Order: sequence, then structure tokens, then C-alpha cells
Amino acid sequence: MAVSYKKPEGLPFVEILDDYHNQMAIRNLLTGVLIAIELRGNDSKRVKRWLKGSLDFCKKSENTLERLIKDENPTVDNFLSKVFIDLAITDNEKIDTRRLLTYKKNFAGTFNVLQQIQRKKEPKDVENSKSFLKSFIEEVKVTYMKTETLYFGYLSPR
Amino acid sequence: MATSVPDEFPIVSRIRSYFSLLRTTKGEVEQTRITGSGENRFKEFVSKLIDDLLIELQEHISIMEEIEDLDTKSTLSENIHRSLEAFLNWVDMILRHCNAVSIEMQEFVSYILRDLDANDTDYLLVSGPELSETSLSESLSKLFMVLFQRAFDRINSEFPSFCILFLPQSLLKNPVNWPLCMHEIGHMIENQKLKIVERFYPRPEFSPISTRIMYNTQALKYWYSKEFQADYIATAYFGPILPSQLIDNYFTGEVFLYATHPSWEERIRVMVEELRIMGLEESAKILLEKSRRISSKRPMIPKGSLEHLDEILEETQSFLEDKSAIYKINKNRLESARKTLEEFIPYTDDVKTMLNAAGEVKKNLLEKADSFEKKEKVEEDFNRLIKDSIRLSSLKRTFVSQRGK
Repeated sequence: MAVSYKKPEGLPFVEILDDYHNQMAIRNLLTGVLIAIELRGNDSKRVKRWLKGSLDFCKKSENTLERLIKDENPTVDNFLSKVFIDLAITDNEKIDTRRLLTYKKNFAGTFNVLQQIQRKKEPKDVENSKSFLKSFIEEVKVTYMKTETLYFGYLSPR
Repeated sequence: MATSVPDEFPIVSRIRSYFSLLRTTKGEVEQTRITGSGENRFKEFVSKLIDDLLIELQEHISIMEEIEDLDTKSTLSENIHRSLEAFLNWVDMILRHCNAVSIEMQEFVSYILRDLDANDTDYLLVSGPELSETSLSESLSKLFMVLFQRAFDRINSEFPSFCILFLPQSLLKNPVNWPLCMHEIGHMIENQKLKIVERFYPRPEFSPISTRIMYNTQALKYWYSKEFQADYIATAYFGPILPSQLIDNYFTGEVFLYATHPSWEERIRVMVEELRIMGLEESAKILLEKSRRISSKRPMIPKGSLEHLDEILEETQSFLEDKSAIYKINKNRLESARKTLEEFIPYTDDVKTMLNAAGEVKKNLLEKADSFEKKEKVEEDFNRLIKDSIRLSSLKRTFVSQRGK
């Protein structure tokens, strides 16, 4: 069951910290996927670990997005869904489902690319996935720009 | 792995500055005297993390040389930059603000944790803008996720729940308000030791206010139950002084009144009920009377929908009973504390009794002072007396327990 709530204009101190850390976690995860794609063919333990982590992240994102799209009133249940909703919310507090569908399609595509890399095949659509990941990182950055300013405002030396 | 950093590569040259920054920060943390029992663990935490980060930074530089795509290189560089800036700012903020917390407050929190047999809790007290508790471990692990996997794993295996308690200066100045910290200590104990609430409702991966619209009912049940539980721990431990101070501090806005928290009315009703169970009918009546002056907002879900709240509170009560930590009113002792404080002599027998008496004594003293200046002077002197009493109570208890060995 979902409970609607319009966020207050400002955010309490601890919530700013949490918001910033959530978006950093997503940006790091997305960067990990980009590197896993970029360094395909590198057989080192570290790159293999990145590849495995990236496969898990893409699958989890795809599943989370599927749930958000299916739900009549999508709800936040983990930090991924929290960031996806923050990205897809419109000015009138509605969810832009089409945007979520695009994300889902792209995460599914990226998952396939990573799977092909894991199977040591030359993946198709690498450029599409890379382009999606880069633009998604930019979207996250723009969405949380105000949070970032507030966050470093709290933490920076006075 | 590259052993040296190539100067000619602009992205790397900026990252290179973190090597010395991290080493300097490690040295600063080692040399700084941090008041409070969390000093050694915090120093160990930062030192080990920096060692991990230095290794991983070196690895990132060698990876950068392998990456051909400039956008990917620069994304990696930006994320390294952001994660490390945030980490260094955290450490810097802690170093700057931890020593603004007085020894007496440190003693006060240690006293409570000893009572709850939880002195091994990983925490630091830091001066901050509002009374709140946050997990340093969770914050840093999100910053280091994927890119600094070694540091991330270190946090989860060795320092999974290091916590920061933020205390505003206005609260630190007034020790009669200190029992309010018990609500946050209640969260700390639940997160690190008890973990009762998460057995009934899954723990969400984000904070209650930070999303823009829709909440999963399960997440709300988790947060609401945690708030009721923390109120319960605080009231059971301190007795009537806690809800009374909570109401007196209502207008600071520190008491969360967003719709994502239980309603004020429901929280007060639970505390009134608890005081009655503790045999403190008179205090329960005063609390009800005081709370009528405050308006309440509708909660997003009613308390009645928390089907496991009774079990959560029962288990919490068992924990407190097991530690003999529930406040029991002793009228003779309370009277003795009141008289002692009225004569401006430190009371050192029991902090909880002393604080319950102090609220009333302070109120009477302030009523008698007939000018703003006199009230300010009385308040300043009385606060000193209470702080001394807390410190001496704690010292006395340590001394008595050592003598008994």
C-alpha cells in the first residue's frame, strides 16, 4: 500500500546527508558498469569483480523499475527506487512512467551487454549502453545538485 | 599496478593530491585528542580506511591508463573526487566539532551506556545543528561503494555501525535538557544491539523524509515503530523529566513533526500510558495538561496499524528490566536531591533522580529571579551545578565499582 506525501520544501540535516550518499552510491555503481564495459577483455580479478557487481546492479535496477512501472502508486522500497522516483517525478508530483520505461529498457540492454562480456563474446550495442550510462549519470547529478550544495555547505570547513 | 603517478596526465595529476591529503588527515586524526570513549575506535577506523583508500587510489590510476574513452576516465575521476572530498570533509567536520562537546556530556552518555551494558557501542558526540543520530558507517559505505571496495568491505566487517550523535550547542548549555539525548541513544542501541524493530518490519535503505512522494507502508511502520520505541526507552529510563523536557523543547522544532513521523498526540499518549504503568500518575496528568497547548498533525498511518508495536515495546521493556535500567521513583531520594540542589550543593548519588529533581528546582529558582539579568545568572550557575553533579556522579560510580573489585 502506498501513502502519498508531499515533501516539505527544506530537508532536515540528517536527510540531506542520506540523500547525498544515496545518489553517490548510484553514481559509483553506474561508473562501475562503465568501467566493466570499457575494460572488457581484461581478465584481472578486480575487473571480474566489477563485472559481477555490475550484472547484479543492472538486474536489480531492471527489477526495481519493473515494479515501479507496474504499481499503480509506485513506492520507495530501497535506495535505488528512491533515486529512480526522484528522477522521474514531475513538477506536479506525478511519476513519469515513460521515463521509467526508458530506464528499464536501457538497464535490460546493458545487462545483455555485460552478459555477453562475461561469456567472452564481443558485445553488440556497447555504444548505446555507454551513452545511456553517461546520460543517466548526468541526470542523477542534475537532480541532486541542490542536495550537493547543501551537503558540502554543512560539511565544509568554516 | 603502476608504482608511480605519471605527471603528464591531467586527470591523474589532480587525483594525485589525494595521496598527501589522505596521509595528512591520517596524521591529524592520530594526533588530535578527541574527548569521549569513541576516541580509539574512531582513530583506528579512519587509519585503516585511509590505508585502504591509498591502495585503491593507486589501483585506480593504473586503471585510468587502461581506459581509452575520455568520458569514462573523467566520470571515474569525478566520482573519486566527490567520494574522497566527502570523506575528508566528514573527518574534518568531526575533528572540528567533537571537542565542542563538554566532558560532562561525554560522562553523561557513558553513564547511560554503562547502565545499559552497552559501553562497547561505537559512537562519537559531535556538536551539530540539530539533535539527531546518524550512522557514519552507512554514510561512508555508500560513498565508497564499488569504487573503493576494500574500504567498503572494511566498514562492513570491522565497523558496521559507527554512529554520530549530533548535539546542538543550545542543548549542550542546558543539562536539564540532556535527557532528550536518550531518544537518540535509544535509536543507537536499537541499531547496534537490539535490532528488535527490524525483526518485525524490514529496514528501509533510506531516511524517512528524503523521498519526494510515496512511502511504502512497511517503511512507515519501521520508522514509526522506531520512534515509539525510542520514546519508550527514553521515558522508561529517565522517568517524568523526559516527556516534560520534550514538551518544553517542542518549539525548537527538533521534535520531528513531519507527517513521516508518528503524530505528537499519539507519542504523548504512549508516554502518558507508560508513566501510569510506572506508577507516576501525577506526572502523567501534568504531561497531558502541558501537551494540550500543542497542536498535532495527522500521521500518515495511525498507531493502530502497527500490529507488532506491543511486541516491540515488550521486548524493549524486557531488555531494560534485565539491565535494571527502568526509572523507579523514590520519594525520599527525590526530596533529598531537591534539597541538596536548592542549597547549591552537587548531588552525586544518582543522575536520574538528580535530573528529575533539577527540572523543578530550576523552575522555582527562575521564578524567584525578578529580572532578565538575574534569571540569566541563576540559569548559568545552576547549569554549572548540574554539570558538576553529573560528572561527580559518574566519577563516584566508577570509583565505587573499582573499590568493590
